[in-house]
Amino acid sequence: MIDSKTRAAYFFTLPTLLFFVIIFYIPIGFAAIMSFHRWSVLGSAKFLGWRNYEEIFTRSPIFLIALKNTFLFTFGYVVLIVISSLFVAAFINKLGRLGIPLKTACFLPVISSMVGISIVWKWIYQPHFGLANQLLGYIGLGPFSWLMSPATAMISVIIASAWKRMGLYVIILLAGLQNIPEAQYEAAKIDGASKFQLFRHITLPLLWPVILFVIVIVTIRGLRAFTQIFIMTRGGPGNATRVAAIAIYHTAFRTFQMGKGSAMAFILFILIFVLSYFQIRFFSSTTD
Amino acid sequence: MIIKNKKNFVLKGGKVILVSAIILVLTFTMLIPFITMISTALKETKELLAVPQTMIPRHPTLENFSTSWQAAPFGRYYINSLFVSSVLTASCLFFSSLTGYAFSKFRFRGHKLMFFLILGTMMVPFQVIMIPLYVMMAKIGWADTYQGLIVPSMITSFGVFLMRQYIGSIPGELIDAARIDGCGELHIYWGIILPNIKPALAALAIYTFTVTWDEFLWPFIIISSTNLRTIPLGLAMFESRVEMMQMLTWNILIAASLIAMLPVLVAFLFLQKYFVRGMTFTGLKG
Repeated sequence: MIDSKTRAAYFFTLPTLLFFVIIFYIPIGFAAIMSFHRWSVLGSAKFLGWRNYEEIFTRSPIFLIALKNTFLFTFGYVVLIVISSLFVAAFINKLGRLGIPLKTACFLPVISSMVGISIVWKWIYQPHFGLANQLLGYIGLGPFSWLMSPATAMISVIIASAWKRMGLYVIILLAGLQNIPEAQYEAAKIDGASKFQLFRHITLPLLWPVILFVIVIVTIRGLRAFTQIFIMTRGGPGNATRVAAIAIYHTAFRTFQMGKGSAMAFILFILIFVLSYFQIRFFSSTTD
Repeated sequence: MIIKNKKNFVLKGGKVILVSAIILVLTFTMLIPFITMISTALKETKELLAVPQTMIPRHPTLENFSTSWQAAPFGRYYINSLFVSSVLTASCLFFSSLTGYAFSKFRFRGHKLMFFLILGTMMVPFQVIMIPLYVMMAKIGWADTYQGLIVPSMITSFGVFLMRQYIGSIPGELIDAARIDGCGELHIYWGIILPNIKPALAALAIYTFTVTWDEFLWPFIIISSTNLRTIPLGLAMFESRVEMMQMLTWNILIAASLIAMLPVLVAFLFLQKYFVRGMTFTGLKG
């Protein structure tokens, strides 16, 4: 006989557990089953075995291109965010109260509407009337085609995406920096350490867990990116910015290939999982 | 010129100029798209097509705002977003705190496994479940409905995790004392746990509201009727319609975007501290 305490505990947790089973685990199983079938929602499903997966890797290059684009995007996204937010955070750390307006300015893009921001950047990137080419023209660069050309579309999307999100990591890295006790720096300075040595032997090691956290989080986010890319380019021009999330959406909801879409989604899932695992392992080992 | 900041650095002459310049450049870089938004939204179409563009419109006009407001039912989109985000935030707060409390302060059979199952869902990208979820919703007639839009997002494992962490810092003696006094379990939850986790609740509320307000992919999949659209979806549809018609009316489009973004921006400027705390969960003790 369970006592009232335990009864309450189950009462508090079972609804939530049930929710997750219905919203996550059943759909995951459903998606797995679907990935082995051809199904368009209307009509019956045809069992295909591994054929969807085979086709993805051999016959329809679309998803392989999408995977390549996804890696490209994520790589640029992570590098740009980590480097820029690290520098900005380090800079703000030295400013004290003077840094408050800059902190606000950094965070404003983070909480702004993704769709709205994507639209603005589309306008900024407009080759004839947009701000980007206008500003670059003042210093003698450009004009570039930005979102209009396959060669530049990806970097354009990366820049806009990184701009929007980096403020969040500025704040996070800043908190990490401020957690480093001043005493460590003082002691090292007394020992005659240079600024560079301070950074390399105190700041970097103590900040490294936070940096790793940021890298992993941003990577996962980058691999799943959809909205801003969709709004800015719809995956184009051609397939230049067709990332996995867009390919999956298109396959499932535009061409109604639920089975193939599910297979793609699973491949993405495994990719994210494996990549995160190796990232954590690789980067953790460097802290020793 | 000498400036002292909080750390009592004394900056002399040239360094001040350098530091100020960097601050200005960085701030400007972060704000430029917003400045562009305001500038473009206030421009007449003639000025829009001028090369080069001026930052300050020569004949500023507010008619882009009224045009876009009439071109699409933004009022309706607002109401939808408000409704959906409020419901989702309330639901998330309630279930996360209740379940987080149970995992934090109770020992019962299977609690480790259950928590692991709930946490495990964080690993799964939305792309995997969005296809079957849509099929499930369609099969029970919830496609293109508020329920279909709301229900899949009602509880987040992140919320449960956060609440469990935070509630862990409430001393067990407080709860035991209440039990000895004969307090019912729900009563303890309502009267002791909730009041003691207000900062975490506020942070989770802001976080959930902000994230659900900006959600695009799921509404895009599940909603097809205009009058159920949330702001992100409505704005995106408006944009694709404008683009399809090949009208170079960026001023109207940007004005519409501004209309869509304004409430959150204004809320942010007043509640900045809570926003930052909510999105980063830094500065929360416990």
